[in-house]
Amino acid sequence: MTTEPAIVIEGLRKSYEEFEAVKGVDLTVERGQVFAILGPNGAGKTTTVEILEGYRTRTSGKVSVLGVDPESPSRAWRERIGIVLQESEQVSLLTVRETLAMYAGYYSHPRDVEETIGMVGLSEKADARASRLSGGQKRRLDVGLALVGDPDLIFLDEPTTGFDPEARREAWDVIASMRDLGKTIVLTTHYMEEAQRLADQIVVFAGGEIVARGTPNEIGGREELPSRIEFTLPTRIAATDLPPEFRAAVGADGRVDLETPDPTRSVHELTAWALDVGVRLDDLTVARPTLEDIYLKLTRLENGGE
Amino acid sequence: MTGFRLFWHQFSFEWKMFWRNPASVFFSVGLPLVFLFLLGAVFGGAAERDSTYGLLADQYLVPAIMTLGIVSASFVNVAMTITYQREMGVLKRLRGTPLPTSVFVSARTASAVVNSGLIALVILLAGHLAYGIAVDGQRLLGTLIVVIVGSVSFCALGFALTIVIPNQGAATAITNMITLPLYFISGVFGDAANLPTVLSVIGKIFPIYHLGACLFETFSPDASGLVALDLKDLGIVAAWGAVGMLLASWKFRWEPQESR
Repeated sequence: MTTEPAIVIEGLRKSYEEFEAVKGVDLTVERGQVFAILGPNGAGKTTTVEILEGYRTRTSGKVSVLGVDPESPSRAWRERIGIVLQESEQVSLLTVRETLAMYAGYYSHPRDVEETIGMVGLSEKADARASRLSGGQKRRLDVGLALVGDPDLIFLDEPTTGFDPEARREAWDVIASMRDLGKTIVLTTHYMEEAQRLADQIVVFAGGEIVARGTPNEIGGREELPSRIEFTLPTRIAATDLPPEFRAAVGADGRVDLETPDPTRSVHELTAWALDVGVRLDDLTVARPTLEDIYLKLTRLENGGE
Repeated sequence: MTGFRLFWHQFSFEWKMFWRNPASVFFSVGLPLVFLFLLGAVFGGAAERDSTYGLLADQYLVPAIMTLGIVSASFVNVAMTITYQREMGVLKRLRGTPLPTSVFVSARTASAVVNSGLIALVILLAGHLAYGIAVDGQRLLGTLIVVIVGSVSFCALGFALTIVIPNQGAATAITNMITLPLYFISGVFGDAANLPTVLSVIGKIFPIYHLGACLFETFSPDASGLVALDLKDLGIVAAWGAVGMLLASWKFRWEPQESR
């Protein structure tokens, strides 16, 4: 096995007539990684993944997937790629076993069908028609279809959207078992928790761009991010009466919302001023950002600010 | 798996799927048989012969309903099931596997050809048993050629038709809107020579008329030649098929058109 990255993207752009869906993306996915692409709907993540899967052409930029440009997918390349689509539903009148056997036949070195059925936990449903499976079971069959060709690289586009918590946990176990087999996995999701749990690397997409990248622990510069001080502007106090750094932080609704890299000093200045002028700040809070906050903030900023 | 083995692999699953689909079986087998017996009950036994092929009413029915069966098992079936598979994302998913497009399309077409042949055989047997239609072994070779060329051509037209079908719900309406009026003006439900000129002229533009003409010819007592093939009519059917193939390879859509 080579150490060449599984995926390299440089300056990727994709425009549809007047809409620019992807605005210059660079990223590298190393082999054996679980790589999560996080972002809200319309952030450009599915477009990017579908370019990687060979479904869409790009407007500009360089893309290499397993050393091949996906715009000209060869059969040999397709043999090494497994795809779970967001919008696909197995409605086949074939049974689970037959559906997997049909797909297995497309590959020169497929995984054993029975073994695949076991991997996705459908042993008890092996003889049931695919169209009669529950939503979660259909999704697992879909994952099985992506695995049956024994690919090196697997794309999972929002694999757990619409799942209840238990089904989501089961899906995570399946994905974790694929990682344990040494597969490279590219996962799109809009659940922070999912990315945090499964991914080695995360990128956050918003408005067609990558707005943050890193490991689950360092993503968004969580360590260095400012804290947030919030309170309601007391009656009879004007914004201009506040300590200087708070003056610009007053919202139209009278809420003051300040982000500060140095909360100790800011709080000290604020409370000193409040005691001095004799006002109470009843709803004063000081908070560190959560991962969810970071994600929301990153994605909102890129959508033109809220 | 390569070449013929992969084709055979895909064919066997396509064929299995057809026979497990109650709608496919009803439209392709059940409906033609219902028409055969209904029309037989209404027109059967009449002593007049049709003006073009010299067929008695009972004899006319068998090739007429075969036409319906072939169009149902190829054109209607391909247009409806391919649209359904497209809208459910099944085609997009297949597109992401190493299965070559040529194998997928040819296996699906071959399945429809075999089904058309079986349906033609069922109609022939039903006509023989119910109406005593004579089965001429030599003529059957001609019939078989028409079934093959016809169903391949109508499959191509079915693939092409999916280009303009926006969603699954519209598939049934659009295919029936096309086939039902054409059956009437193409002689499937009775002698086309009795139609007003305008309608029969319109009917002759489209391939259902010509597929019917080929089949009537292979059953006609007046026809000459060993297999009684009308190459002009067969050529028109094939030309329509070629147009369908070109359109399909140019504009065929693999991805769902309506967001679900």
